[in-house]
Amino acid sequence: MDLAIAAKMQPPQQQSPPGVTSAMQPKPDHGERSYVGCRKLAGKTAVITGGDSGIGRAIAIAFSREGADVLISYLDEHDDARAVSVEHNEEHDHG
Amino acid sequence: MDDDDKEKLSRRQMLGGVTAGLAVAAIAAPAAAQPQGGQPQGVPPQNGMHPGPGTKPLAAMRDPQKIYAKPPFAKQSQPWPGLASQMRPRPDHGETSYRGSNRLAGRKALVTGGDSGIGRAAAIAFAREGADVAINYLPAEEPDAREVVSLIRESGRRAVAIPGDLRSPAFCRKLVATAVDGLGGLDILVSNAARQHAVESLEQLTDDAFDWTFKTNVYAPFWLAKAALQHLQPGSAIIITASVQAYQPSPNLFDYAQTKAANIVFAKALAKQLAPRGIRVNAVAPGPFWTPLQVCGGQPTEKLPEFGKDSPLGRPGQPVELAPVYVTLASAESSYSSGQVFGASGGSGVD
Repeated sequence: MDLAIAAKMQPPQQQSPPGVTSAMQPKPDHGERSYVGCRKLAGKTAVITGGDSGIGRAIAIAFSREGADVLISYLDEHDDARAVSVEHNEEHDHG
Repeated sequence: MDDDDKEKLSRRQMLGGVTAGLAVAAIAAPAAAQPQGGQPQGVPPQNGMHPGPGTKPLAAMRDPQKIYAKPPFAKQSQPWPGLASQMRPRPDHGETSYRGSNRLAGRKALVTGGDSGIGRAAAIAFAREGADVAINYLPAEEPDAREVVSLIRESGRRAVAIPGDLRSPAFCRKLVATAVDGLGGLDILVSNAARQHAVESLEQLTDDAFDWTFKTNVYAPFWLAKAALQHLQPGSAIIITASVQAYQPSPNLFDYAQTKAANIVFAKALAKQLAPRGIRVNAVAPGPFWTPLQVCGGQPTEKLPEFGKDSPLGRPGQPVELAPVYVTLASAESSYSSGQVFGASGGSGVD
């Protein structure tokens, strides 16, 4: 997406902590559709705090596509966490 | 409450929440860690190095203390500029180990000092990641360069070999032009070649020696970047090999250490200047690496057997251990990293 267009689509916004991804405009890109792994972490296991959203979510997605099993911790952002989890279960089904 | 307090409070709250009631979700890795299985979409495998589903992991679990040769090394010395092929043990540039995954498919790269050492590791990795690669080196390094050219071609990529001394601005301009002609463009510039020669005292450091180090290490990256700029499209990357010497200078590398500090600022300043043009600039700051630079005067001969011993991992780095860093910095995947310095000094902090 063109950056200028993205800036126009980034309106003032405020959530109460810890905030959820689904309410953000625009939606952050954690690599859900773009990150392609190549088994760089095959067989590894990883723990990622804050893995439900933001940078931790991007790490969780990338690690799992590189072949790692991933445990994420978070506060009460269960919907975000489920989204990360589902991402991988679907991928697993297709794989 | 100012923003700083809010930030601190939210971090405390988050930590408290985690310890008080741990919410976790476990994610199973897909069996064949490729979305839709198989190769990245639209990119055919370039060579036999490309892993498919079910192949062994790219990087098995290994203790970094134990995977490469440790000091003491055999006493050895070569005339400048030295050959990797004459070193004992031979450095590992990833010749047999580096496996690519098309992270640089279709890119065109120029790597100075690409015949040996860290530049060679970058050149091999770039080719296996799908890039066409031009390497520059000194005429005396032709035997090392031939090996790299073969390795690039074995990856199914185009290799262009351009020998010459970077102390000449005219040669630097010709180098870029020749690389662009040979590759059909340029997307990645790695200014890696360096002059390093240990001299114990300031009185012994001649003006010519000082000039040699600065011309090679400071002027050449400037001349190369200037010549390359007209060819670099948005999305291109410039990488400069600096050194931990920029932050922790050795007393006998007075001139070299200064040039490496200049390289750091090259990356930081040029990154700001080129951000509006969509070009990223980063620096890599290695600690002790087992390269020809060290065995032909970069270190005093008598100290070479203990080279790398003082690093927390107890050994020098092998060039291949930096290959993934150059790939990442060159790749569009690190699109928000520019003006950064990536350190690799075996456990010692960089600055």
